[in-house]
Amino acid sequence: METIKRTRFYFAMAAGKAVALLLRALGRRATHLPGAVALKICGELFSFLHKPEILICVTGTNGKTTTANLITSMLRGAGLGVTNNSTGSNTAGGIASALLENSTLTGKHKNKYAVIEVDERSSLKFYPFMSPDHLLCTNIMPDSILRNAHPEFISYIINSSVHEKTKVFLNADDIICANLVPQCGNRTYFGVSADAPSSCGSTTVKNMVYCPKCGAPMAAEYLRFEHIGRVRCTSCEFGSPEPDFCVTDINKQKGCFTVESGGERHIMPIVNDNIVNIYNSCAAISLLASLGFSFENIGGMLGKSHIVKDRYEQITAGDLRVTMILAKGLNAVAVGSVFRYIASLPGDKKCLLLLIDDREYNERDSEITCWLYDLDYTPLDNPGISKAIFAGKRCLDHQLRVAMSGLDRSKFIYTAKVDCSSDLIDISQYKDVYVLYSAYFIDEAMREKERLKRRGEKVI
Amino acid sequence: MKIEALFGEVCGMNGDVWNAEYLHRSVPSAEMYATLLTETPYFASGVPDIICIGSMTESTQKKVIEKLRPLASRLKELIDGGTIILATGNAGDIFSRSIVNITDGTVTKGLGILANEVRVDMLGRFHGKTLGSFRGMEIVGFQCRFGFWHGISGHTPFLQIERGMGDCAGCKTEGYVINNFFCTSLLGPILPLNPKFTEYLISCAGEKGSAAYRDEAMASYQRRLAEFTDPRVRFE
Repeated sequence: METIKRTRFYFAMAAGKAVALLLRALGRRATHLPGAVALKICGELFSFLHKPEILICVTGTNGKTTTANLITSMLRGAGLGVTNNSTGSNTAGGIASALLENSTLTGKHKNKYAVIEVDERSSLKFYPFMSPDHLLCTNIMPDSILRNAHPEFISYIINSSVHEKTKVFLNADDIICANLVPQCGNRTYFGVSADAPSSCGSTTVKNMVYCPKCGAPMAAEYLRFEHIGRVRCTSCEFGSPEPDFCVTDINKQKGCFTVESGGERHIMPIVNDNIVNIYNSCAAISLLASLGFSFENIGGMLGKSHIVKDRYEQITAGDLRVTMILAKGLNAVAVGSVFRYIASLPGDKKCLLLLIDDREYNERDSEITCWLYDLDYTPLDNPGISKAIFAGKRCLDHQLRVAMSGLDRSKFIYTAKVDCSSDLIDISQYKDVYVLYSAYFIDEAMREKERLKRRGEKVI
Repeated sequence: MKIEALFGEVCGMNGDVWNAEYLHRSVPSAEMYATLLTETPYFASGVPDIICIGSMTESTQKKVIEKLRPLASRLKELIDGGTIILATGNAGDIFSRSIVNITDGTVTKGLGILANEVRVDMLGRFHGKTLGSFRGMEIVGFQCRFGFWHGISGHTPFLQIERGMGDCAGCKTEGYVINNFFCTSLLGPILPLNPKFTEYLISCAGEKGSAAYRDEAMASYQRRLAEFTDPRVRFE
């Protein structure tokens, strides 16, 4: 029986590698299909593949791609060989593609390190068969109901799949994340101190209104958004743990922040000043420090890192500045955090072009729009935002939500047509145009960026 | 008109919390009772015209059942008396005889107001869209469920299914209606999505009024209805 299984594994490896070669010959990216084919042939592929010497997995609702990319780029910056799935999918097929591409036909891994981004729902398909040495979870938030149902379900999936010996890195400021995988004793917490900016002033601990231990109401010392902040039970000892790595003194002007750990303070460069990316940076720092890298090295490597262009990019064309920001579609928390970020930026006469529908669902289907009712539109009411254009098939749903949110309706434009939607912007009226786009609209967003660029240069 | 939003802080996932709010905005003169899980529901001693309860997590279902168990006979009395109750998403599960979680083997005794059993498979989630009719109204909505109802025959269904999922794959009906108790697995902002149904509920409560933001709500509804009736649009 074992021989049959192993023969099937070798066949799966050969088939997966052949598919990858074929895709490359055709000029296509071999991101998901090679692994999916290999898994179809050998369902136990992950059991037979040799585990990399140091397997780091990054999961969480938001920020896992950015964090995994930061860790990978820093390790590669240190001259280390790293396998990762940044160009592919984070589901079982994409993970298998990355691993088999960097393995020999017999399954031996070529690199010492692997940094694998794992979709939360794929936990059960991966961790039990290839247990990570280090597991970093950025946060556990409400996500698309199509993808993740609710945070309790995702916690259940992750808790059911992680081995107790895995060393875990958890967000101390996310009470759900901080209480993941109770079976794992080796725990490191990262967080951002209360004196850092962007506390929202709310006292309702969303997503954990009542204590899971005793049922009493939870209370917040402070909250940034949703349940991110420091919280505690009003009756028992349950509450946010103290972070082992804590960001303080965020200085956007100087482009740096401080990380306190073990009684020491270390200055680190800001890669991106959105608070969610400060969390992502701190998460990456905590993991690399635990791997034995000095803070000096980490700071140097972080300074050379950047958010990949299809997630964040800023260009200028004449007097016009265009900022491109990926806002994860179907995800109210992610889009809401980008709304808040733009509203918090200095300056007036900002114009937003919002391409945040799910294109795939709206091409052959009709998007489930419950998430729009969890999305907080009120940051768009900020006086610095002069105009906002919702472009896409769901524009009438946004129109209703804008009305329900009590916003000044006169500053919103709705169009079902995405192509050329930036033409609706009178660029002579605005200094800053922000294009928010879901992962389904990257190509279209980039085309609108080029249109804006051409128009901005023509004005000059 | 009196509206009671039951446990909105934990029973309002996926936009369900907006249903009671939308009713209130449609009838601004209505009195709103937003009851927390830690409080005694208004309906325990008063008579609301409309009670709304929405989607919750599976662990919250257990807490809500224990909270409402002493009030089960009162709820039955209100249902028999014609009080409007709108239970959306998996809120309807709590009224059943039992909730059987086939993933972890646990069985939770429900309020027993209905004779059905709910079977929950945490690793077998269904999500999709539903187009159905109720009293000549086209109702559009979404489903996302771990649990399915078994043994609900004998009740008047809420929807006659035209496209998409009913109570099960291939079922031609969805949910149930007992007097003015509407129990549907459609989740999220079912009332803002269906302004005509909102107006129907308002009229059932003896009020006159049109759905809030009617122009915007109708434009959105008509667009969705056109999509849901388009044979090229995929449903499963």
